[in-house]
Amino acid sequence: MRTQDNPQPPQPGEQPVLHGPSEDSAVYDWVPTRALRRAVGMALVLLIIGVTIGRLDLVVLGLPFVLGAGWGLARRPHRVPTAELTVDTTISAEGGTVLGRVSIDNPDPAPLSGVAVRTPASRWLRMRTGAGEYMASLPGRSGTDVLIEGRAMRWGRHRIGPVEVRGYAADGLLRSRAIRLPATTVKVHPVAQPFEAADAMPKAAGIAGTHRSRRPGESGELAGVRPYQPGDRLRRVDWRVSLRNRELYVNATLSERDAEVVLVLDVLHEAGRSAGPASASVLDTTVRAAAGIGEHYLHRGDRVSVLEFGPSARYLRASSGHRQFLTMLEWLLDVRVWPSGVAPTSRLLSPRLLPPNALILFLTPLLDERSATMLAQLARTGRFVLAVDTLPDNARPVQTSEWTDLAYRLWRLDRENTVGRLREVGVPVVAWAGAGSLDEVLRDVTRMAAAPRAVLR
Amino acid sequence: MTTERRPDGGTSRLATLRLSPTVSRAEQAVQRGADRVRSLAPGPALVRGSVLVFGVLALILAMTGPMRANGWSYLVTVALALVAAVRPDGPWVTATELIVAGVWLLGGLVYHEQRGMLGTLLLAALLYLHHGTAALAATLPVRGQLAPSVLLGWLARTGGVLLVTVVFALAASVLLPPSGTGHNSILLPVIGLLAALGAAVGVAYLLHRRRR
Repeated sequence: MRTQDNPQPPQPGEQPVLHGPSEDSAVYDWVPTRALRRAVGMALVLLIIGVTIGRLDLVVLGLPFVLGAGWGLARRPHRVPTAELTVDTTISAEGGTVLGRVSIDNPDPAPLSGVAVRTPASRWLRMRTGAGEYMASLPGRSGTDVLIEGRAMRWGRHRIGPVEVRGYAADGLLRSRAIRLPATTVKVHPVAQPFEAADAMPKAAGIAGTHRSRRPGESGELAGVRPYQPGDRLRRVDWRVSLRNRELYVNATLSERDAEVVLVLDVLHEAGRSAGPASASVLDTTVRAAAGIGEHYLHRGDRVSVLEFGPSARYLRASSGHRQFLTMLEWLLDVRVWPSGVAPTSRLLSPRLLPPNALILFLTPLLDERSATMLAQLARTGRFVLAVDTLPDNARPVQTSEWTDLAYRLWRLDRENTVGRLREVGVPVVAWAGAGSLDEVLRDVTRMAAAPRAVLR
Repeated sequence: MTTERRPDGGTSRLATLRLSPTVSRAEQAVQRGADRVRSLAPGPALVRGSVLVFGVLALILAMTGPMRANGWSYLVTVALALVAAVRPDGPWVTATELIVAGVWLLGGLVYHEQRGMLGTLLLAALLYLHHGTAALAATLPVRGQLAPSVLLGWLARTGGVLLVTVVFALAASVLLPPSGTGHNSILLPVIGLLAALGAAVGVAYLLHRRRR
């Protein structure tokens, strides 16, 4: 774009046109406003006509314009105000408080009749003070702070700014160039919805952990009592049974292993209304449920990985511990829905992404046929997969005609049909309802994992 | 307008008017204006209301004989002052003030109306208040919060300017001969020319913008 401040080179054959910088250019610190031109123009017209035709009343009419402009310009500032945006970037959670301030200083001895501060903020930050536009006067060599305080209504990375500060002097006759401060991003972590799963994992995979395996090993889980063998530790000898049988017996225990949980987030579509912690859309439910499930399993010592089912296939490698939980919360901040029509990744069936023994929790609203197809493919390849329905109850289409309700009911029936077909191929589908909502289906998955079956590999 | 058959057999008139693009644009403009009025914060609303009031009062005070009796004059007055109040950063403020001065001069030259020094001072105050509130309103964001110190400082400075004007006008009316008496005093043209020269120097000073 050709602008006065940034002219493009003239085309061949075109005469170069020289422009001076515009009044909004950063070349000038202070520029006169239309009010100053009006004051000078009115004063000149009234004084000249009054003098020419000898009317004192016209001179009196023009006098306040002369005095007002002269008084304002006599105390004209030469330096523009300075500003700084400070935001408390301590990570906040949904519903938490966001704090910050815009500090404005007037380095000039002349006062500023007004300083306009414009601080835009993300719509997910419900600001109590400081957001929007504010105007205050500022004496010479002084400063003021505009406090920013608000509440984070939704998870994600939310921007405060860019802030624009503009000074006015001589009662609006002069205007400073705008000072623009870059925006600051505030991280708001999702609130992990409470989740508890009392049942065992279908397959333990690691060499240490909390899940009881079917192999003997060192743990506190008693498997039975057996005769002593060379190599058994003395502390494992069951003296009561040994005395009774006149032979050494030891307590046999099962080993404890960790499991790998893969959370697959369906980011193909968004539905429902996101309105803070009270009302959740599909993406809100998905992210909060993932945080809750991840926290639960990571707290138990399992390894958790997270994967997007979308075009990008973002992936968080499996790990365990509190550090992985914090990493997962950061990773979840960037989850977003892709525009419809973009094909999802086909890498999901890769053994590197989805280990064969991992428990796959597929969080999906089942709004896309491709999600159901992927679930069925995962089940056919022998993975332990569980579909968590994240479609909220309030997700209904906008009433556009009298056929909307009927179409919605038909679509619901079709969706129930899809859920039924998924169950037929061995994919349990359960609606997300927080704590304990997956217990029953996890038990089913564990039972199915224990049974021998033929799978496609 | 179209009709559509309902499942229960009845017909319902649907409000699907096919509006012309001009009407649609006007409707959108009205909607934008209504949204703007709804979002107007108290501080900017007060200042813009003052622009309207001072504009109307100045125009009414400047009206001359036949205009006072004509109802259309008041309608035009309110319309002009309203446009200036809605767009204080536009040229309508200047136009309003020039019309006030022109009508005032017309009353004196054509209809030979004598308003006296009090009427002149009152009009001078109204004109300057109109100019000042418009200048302030142009700097205020429509949705912005306004610190009381901005208004208090402006009121103090404007009061000072008007006070000096009153003093000067009274002194001039005492010292100078009444206008239209045919007195060949050279003092008034000299003062006026000096003031005009001062204003011109002020313009030149402003045009010399300091570069960074």
